[in-house]
Amino acid sequence: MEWLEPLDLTVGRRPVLLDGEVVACTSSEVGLYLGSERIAELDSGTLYVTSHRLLWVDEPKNHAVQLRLALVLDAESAGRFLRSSPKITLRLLDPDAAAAQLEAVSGVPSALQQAIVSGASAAALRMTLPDWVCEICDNTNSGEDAKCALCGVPNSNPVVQAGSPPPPAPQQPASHPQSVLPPSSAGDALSYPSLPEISAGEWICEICEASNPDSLAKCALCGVPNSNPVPRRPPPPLPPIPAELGVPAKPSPMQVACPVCTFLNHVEMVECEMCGASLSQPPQQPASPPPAAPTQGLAVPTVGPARVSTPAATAKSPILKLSFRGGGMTEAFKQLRQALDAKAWEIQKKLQLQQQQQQQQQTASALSAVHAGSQARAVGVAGIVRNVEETQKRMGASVDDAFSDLTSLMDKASEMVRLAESISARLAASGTHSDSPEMVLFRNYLAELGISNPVTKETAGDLYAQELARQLADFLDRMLKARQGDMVPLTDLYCLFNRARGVALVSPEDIYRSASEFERLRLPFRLRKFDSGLLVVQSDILLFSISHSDDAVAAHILEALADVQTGLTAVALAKRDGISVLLATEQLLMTERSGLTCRDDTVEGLFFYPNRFVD
Amino acid sequence: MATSAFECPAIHSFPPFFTQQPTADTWNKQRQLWCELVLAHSQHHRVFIIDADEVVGKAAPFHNPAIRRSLPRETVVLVLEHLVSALKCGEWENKDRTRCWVFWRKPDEWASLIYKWIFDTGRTNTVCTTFEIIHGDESADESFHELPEPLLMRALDVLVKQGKAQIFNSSDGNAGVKFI
Repeated sequence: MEWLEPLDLTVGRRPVLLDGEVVACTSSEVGLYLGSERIAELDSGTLYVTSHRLLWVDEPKNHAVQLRLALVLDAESAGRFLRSSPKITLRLLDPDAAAAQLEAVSGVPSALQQAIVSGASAAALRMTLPDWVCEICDNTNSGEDAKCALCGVPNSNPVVQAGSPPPPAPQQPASHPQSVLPPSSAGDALSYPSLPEISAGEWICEICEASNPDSLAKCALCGVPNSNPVPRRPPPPLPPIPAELGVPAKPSPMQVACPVCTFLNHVEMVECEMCGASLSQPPQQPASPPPAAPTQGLAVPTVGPARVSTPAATAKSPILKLSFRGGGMTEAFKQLRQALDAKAWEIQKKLQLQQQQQQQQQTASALSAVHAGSQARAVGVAGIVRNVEETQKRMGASVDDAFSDLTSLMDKASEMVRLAESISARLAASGTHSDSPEMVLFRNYLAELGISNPVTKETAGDLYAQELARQLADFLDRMLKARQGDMVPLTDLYCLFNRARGVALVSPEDIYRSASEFERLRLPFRLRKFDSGLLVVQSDILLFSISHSDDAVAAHILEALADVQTGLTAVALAKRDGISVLLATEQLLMTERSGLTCRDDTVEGLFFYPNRFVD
Repeated sequence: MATSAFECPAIHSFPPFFTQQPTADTWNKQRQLWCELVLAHSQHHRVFIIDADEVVGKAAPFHNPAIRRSLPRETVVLVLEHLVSALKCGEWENKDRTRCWVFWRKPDEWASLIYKWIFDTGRTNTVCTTFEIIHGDESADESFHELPEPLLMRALDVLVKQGKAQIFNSSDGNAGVKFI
C-alpha cells in the first residue's frame, strides 16, 4: 500500500499526467492485490499504463492511486486459470530502496518518503510474523497469509501464533534468532529445517561427515576441500522433511545437476560423470531459492537494509498484483513491459541534466569568450551574428534529423514542438504589425488548449468512448473557462478538439458518442439538443436548472436588444458575443419561445425585437 | 364622416407586428391587437367588408408604407378568422373565406339604432322600404346610412325576432318593413 501514492484527477476524472508522460493503454475492472490479499477498497477500477506510472482510478468511489514504474523491479503475467482472472504480478522495490529511488527519480515531496519509510517498518513488522499450520490440511502457510493457501480455511488463532514459534518449525531453536541466519542459506533452511546443532567455527565434510574447524580448508579426515566457506549444514539425518513441507525435492547443495543429461553430479566434478558435459555452474546456485516464490520469501529470516540486493531479499520484496477481471491483460502487460524497458523517467532525468549542462556550457563559453580577449572575432556585433548563425545551424540540423525518418521524428517530437512554439512566439513578438492581435490571441489560445496526450482507440481499447468523454470534458473545462462562455455547439467542439489534438483525429461520430456519455459518467457537462436539432454541449452547473441558464441567456439577449434599435439578427448577436451563428440563433429562438422577444420576418432576414405585444 | 385621418396605434409601426409570431402567447396578443385595429380602422373609415385579396400589401391597416411592412395574406385571413369565430365581430361572406363582413357594430346594435330612429321619427306602425332606411334622405345623418343591405337585413332579423318588425318581401327585390 505504501507504494501507492494518491493521484490527482482532472475535471473529467482522468488522471493528471506528468510532463512527457504518455498513456499506453487503459483497461477497466482491474483489482489490486497486495501479496495474495485483495485490497478491499481498491477492488475495481480503471488502470492506465503510462510511460512513467501505473494509474488506477475508481471513479464512482473517488479513489485514485498511482505507482511509479521506477519502483517496479519486475513484472510477470499469469493467464486465466479456472475462476481466477488473468493477473499481472509486480515485484516492487523494498521500502528503503523505494524511498531512495523516489528521491532519485523525481524529487517527490519528503512527506511521501516519510510515508514510505514508516510504511516500511510496518511491512517489516508483517514479515516477521511466523508461519502457521492449517488445522484442516496441515499445510504450512506464511505468517502474512490470513487464510490457508491450500484449502482457504482462515487462520484460527493468529494472536497465539504471532507470539509463539510456529508448530511446523519447532526444529528452529529459539536460541537461534532468525536474523542470524544468512540469507543465502534460506533454501537450505526450508528444505532441511531440522538440523543438528553445529557449534560455530566448525564445518562438516560432505564426504566423510567429519567435523572440522573453520581454520582448515580441507577435511582433516579425507582431504576433500571445504565447499562451503560459510558455515553450511550437512544433509539432514531425518529423511521425510522435504516432502512434508510440500517443497519439491531439489538437488542437494552437494550435488549439481548436469545441464545436458540432468544427472546429479557431485559438486566437485568439473565434467558430468554421465555425459561428460562441462558443469560450469557454480555449485551454490542451484541451491539458492527461486527469487520470486512468495511463500518462501516469508519463511526467510528478516534482513537488514544492507542485504537489499541479495536474491533472498528481493524474493521478499512486496508484491502487488493486478487482476484483470474485465480482460485486456495481454495488452496491458505488453505496454507495461515496454514502459519498464524504456525507462522514460530516467531518460527525462537525463534530458534535464543535459539541458542543465548545456546551459552551463553556454554560460561558460560565453564567459570564456568574454574573458578570452585574444579571440577578438567572437565579440561585438560579429560575435552576436556568429552566435545566431550557430544557433540556426544547430536548429537546422535537429530539424533535418527529426524529419529524416519517422522513428526519430517521434523521438524528437517534444523537441520539435518546443522549437515550433519558440518560432511562433518569435513571430508573434516581431511581426505584430502583420498579425492582428486577435490572431496572436487565437494562436496562444490554441497552444494553451493543445492536447499532448490524445486518447486513441489503441490506448483506450474498450474504454475508448468513456476515456474520450473524459478528455473531452477536460478540454471543455479549459475552453469554456478561457472563453467565458457556457455552451458550445457540437460541431464547433469537433473542430476545436481536433485542432487541439493535432494528430490522432477523432470522427464526428466518436465525439457525439462521447458527448452522450457525459451524463452516465457524471461529468460536469451535458449534451443538449435544441428543438431545431442543434446539438450543443453545455456546462452542467448551468444545466443544473435549465430555466436558470435560459433566464441568464434571455437577460443577456434583452440587454443586447436594448442596445440596438432596429432589431437583432442572429449574425449580429453571434458577432457581438463571439459565438457561432447557429448558437446565437438558438439562443434567440429560445428567448422568443419564452415570450420575451418577438420577431420581424422580412426578406432581409429575421430580426428580433423586445416583445412589445405584451406590454 | 371619414374626414379626419385615422390614428394608427404605436404598435402599427413596430415591425414584428407584421410577422405572425410563432410563440403562441405572443401570437394571441398580436392577433388581439390586430382585431382591435381592424375594427377601429373599419369603424373610422366605415368599411363593412374586407376582401383579403384586395387589402394585402395595399390597404391601410394591413400595410404600413412607412416601415415597408405588410401583413401576409394568410395572416390576414387568420386575423379575420379570429374576428369571426372568437370575437363574433365578423362573418365570412362565403365559404372560401376571402371576403369578410366586419361587424364593428354588431347586428343587434344596428337593430337598436335603427329602431330608435324609427321610434324617434314616429315611423312605428308604418311600412318602410329597406332603401328608405339606408339610402333615404331622412336617414342621411344616421350612422346606419349607407349600411350594406346584408347587414341591414341581419339587423332587421334581430328586430323581427324581438317582435318589433315584420318583413314583407316585395317583387322588385326591395323588402318592406313594418315596425311595430
